[in-house]
Amino acid sequence: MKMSDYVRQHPMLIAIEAMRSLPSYLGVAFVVSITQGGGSLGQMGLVFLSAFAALLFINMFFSTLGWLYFYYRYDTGHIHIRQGIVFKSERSIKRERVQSINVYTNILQRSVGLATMQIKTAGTEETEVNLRALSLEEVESIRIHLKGGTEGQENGEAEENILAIEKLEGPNLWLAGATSGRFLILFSVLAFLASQLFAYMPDSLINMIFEELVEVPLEFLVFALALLFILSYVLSIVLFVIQYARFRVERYHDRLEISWGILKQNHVSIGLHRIQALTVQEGLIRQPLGLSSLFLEIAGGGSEGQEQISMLHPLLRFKDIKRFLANVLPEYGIPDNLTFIPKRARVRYMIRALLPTTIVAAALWHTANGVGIGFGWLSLLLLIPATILALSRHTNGATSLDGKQLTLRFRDVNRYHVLIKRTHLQSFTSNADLIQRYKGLRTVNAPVLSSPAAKYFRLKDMDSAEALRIWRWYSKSSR
Amino acid sequence: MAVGLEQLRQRLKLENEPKERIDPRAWRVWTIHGFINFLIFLALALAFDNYAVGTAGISEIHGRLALAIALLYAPYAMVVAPWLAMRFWRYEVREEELETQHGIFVIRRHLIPMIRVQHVDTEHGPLMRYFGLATLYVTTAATRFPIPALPKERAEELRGEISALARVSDEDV
Repeated sequence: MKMSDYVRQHPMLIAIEAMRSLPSYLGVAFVVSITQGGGSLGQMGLVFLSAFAALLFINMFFSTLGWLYFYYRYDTGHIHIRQGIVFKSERSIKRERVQSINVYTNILQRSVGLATMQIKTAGTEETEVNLRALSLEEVESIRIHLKGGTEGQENGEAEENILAIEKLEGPNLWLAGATSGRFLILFSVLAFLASQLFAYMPDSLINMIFEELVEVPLEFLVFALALLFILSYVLSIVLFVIQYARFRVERYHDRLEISWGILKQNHVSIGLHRIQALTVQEGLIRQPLGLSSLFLEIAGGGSEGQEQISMLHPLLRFKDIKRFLANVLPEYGIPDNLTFIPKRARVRYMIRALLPTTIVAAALWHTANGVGIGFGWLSLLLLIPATILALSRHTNGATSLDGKQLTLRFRDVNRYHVLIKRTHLQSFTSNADLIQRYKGLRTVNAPVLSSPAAKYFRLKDMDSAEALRIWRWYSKSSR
Repeated sequence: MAVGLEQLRQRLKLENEPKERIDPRAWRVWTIHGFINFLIFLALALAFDNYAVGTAGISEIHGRLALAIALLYAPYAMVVAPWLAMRFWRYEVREEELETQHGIFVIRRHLIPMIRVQHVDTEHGPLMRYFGLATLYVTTAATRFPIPALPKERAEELRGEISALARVSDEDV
C-alpha cells in the first residue's frame, strides 16, 4: 500500500480546542470579574468580557501553533506523529501495540463532520494519541489501515458480523437518570458554588443581599430551597439522559463495541481478552427498585493495567442481567446459588462498624459539650444507621463458585457482585487473625488487573471451609 | 483447664501449612531489627519526656506513659514478634504454583500461580548480607510477594527455578 505523506489535521482543530476549555474560561473570568470588578454590575461585566477575551486569545494563539506543528501520517499497520516547535518529537505506533481505538464526537465536531480519534497503547506514559479534528472518512481510513497490519487477520473479516445488540432506550433511560443519585452531587456542587460566591463577593454586595433577604418571609426561603433541590434533580436527569442517550452494546466475535451520547458521542471498543472482571453495582436508590448497573474491569492487555473501568450498561433490572449476559457476554453469568457468610461472623461485622462510629459519636458529644451545645447526645443517633449497615453487610456477604467463575458479593454502601474468571485472578489470599482462627472464619482477597493499579476484591469473615474450597478451586496442584 | 487449653490449640491450629520453613538465622536478624526499632522508639519517648512535657497540657504522666510503652515494646519486638514470625513463616514451591504463609497475629496465606509471575528478584540489606541471607521477591502484575531470609544460595536457586517455571507455563496460557 502506498504511504501517505505527513499532513496536518483539519484547521477546525483551533476552534475545537478553544471550545474544550471554554467552560473553565467562563468560570475563571467570572471569578476575576467578581473579585476585581468593584461594586457596580457594569464594571463587572466589562472585566468579565475582557478577561474572557484575553484567555480566549491566548488559547487561540497556542492552539494555532499546536495545529501548525502537529503532523500525522499513516500506512498499513502504523501511524506516525510528528510534533513540536522547538523540541521536535516523532512517534510511531505499531498496530501490535495498539490496545484500543475509540472515536468521540461532540456537537461542534459533528456540525462540521469531524471526530476525535483516540488511539491507546500499552505502556506507562504517553499511552494515548488524541487526534481531535479528523474527518469521518479519515477516521475510517486510519482504522482500516491500522487493522490491516496484522498477518492472518484477513480470514477474520468473515466473522465481522454482530452477534448481539443491547440498547437502553425510552422510559428505561429516564429511569436510569432518575435513580442515578447524581442529583445529590449536582445539588452539593450548586450549594458549594453558592458558598464560594459569598467568599468572593465584595461586602457591600453581600450586605445588600442580606438586607433584601430579611424582608423575605421564611416560607419563601424554604420554598426556594426546595425548588433548587427539585431543579437540580430534574437537571441531573436531563444531563444523564443526554449523556447516555442511544446507549448501545454490540457483541462481535472477539470484542464489545459500546457507544452512547447525543451531544458528545462516544464509541469504545473493548477486546474480550482485556476484560478482567465484571461488576454488578446496585446503588442505594436502585437496589430497592431492583435495578443495577454493570461495569467492566479492563486491563491494558500488556503487563500492566492502564484503562479505567468501563460501563457495560448504565441500567438493567437485576433479573434481566441473566438474559443480558447470555446475549452479550455469555462468558460470565450471575450465579444461582450463593454461599453466605456464617452467622457467627455477625458480631465481627457489628464491632467493625460500631467501634469507629462510637468513637466518632463520643468525640462529637464531647466537643458539643465543650462548646456548650446541649444536644451532644444526639450524635449517638449515628449508631442506628451504622448498625443497619453492619447487619446488611453481613447478610449480603456471599460467594459462589461456578465452573471457571468466582463470584464475590459484598456491600460497602452499594451492593456489588464481582464476577471473576479463574484465569484472571492474579493470586489468592486467605487471612486469619487469632479470633478468626478460633471461630473458623477467613478474610479472602482476590486481586485482578485494572487501571491505573490492580484492584483487590475482599470479603471479610467468610466460612473457613468455604475459603478452603475456593483455595482448592484456584490451586492447580490439589486438583 | 488442661483440656480447655488442648481444645484451644486444636481450634487455632493451621491446616496443611506449606512445607518449607525459612532459615533459622532470620530469628537473629529480626531480633536485631527489633532492637534497633526499640532504640529509635526509646529515643523518641525520651525526647517526648524531656521536651514536650510541660507544654500545651502534656503532664508528667504522659511522659512516663510514653517511656513505659517504649520499655514494654522491647520484649515484644525482640522476643515475641521474631518467635511468632519464625513460627508462621512457611513457603512451598510447586511446579504450577507458589504458596507462602506469614504473619504474627494475622496469618496471611497466598497462592500464586506460576503463570501469573511476572518476575523474580532477590534483595539483601546489610544485616541480611552479614548473616548470608537474602529476600526473594515474586511479583505478579498486581502484587509483590516476599520470601524473606533464605540462605543466599537457596534464594538464587529458587529465583532461577521460579523464573524457569514461570516461563514454561507462560507458553500455554
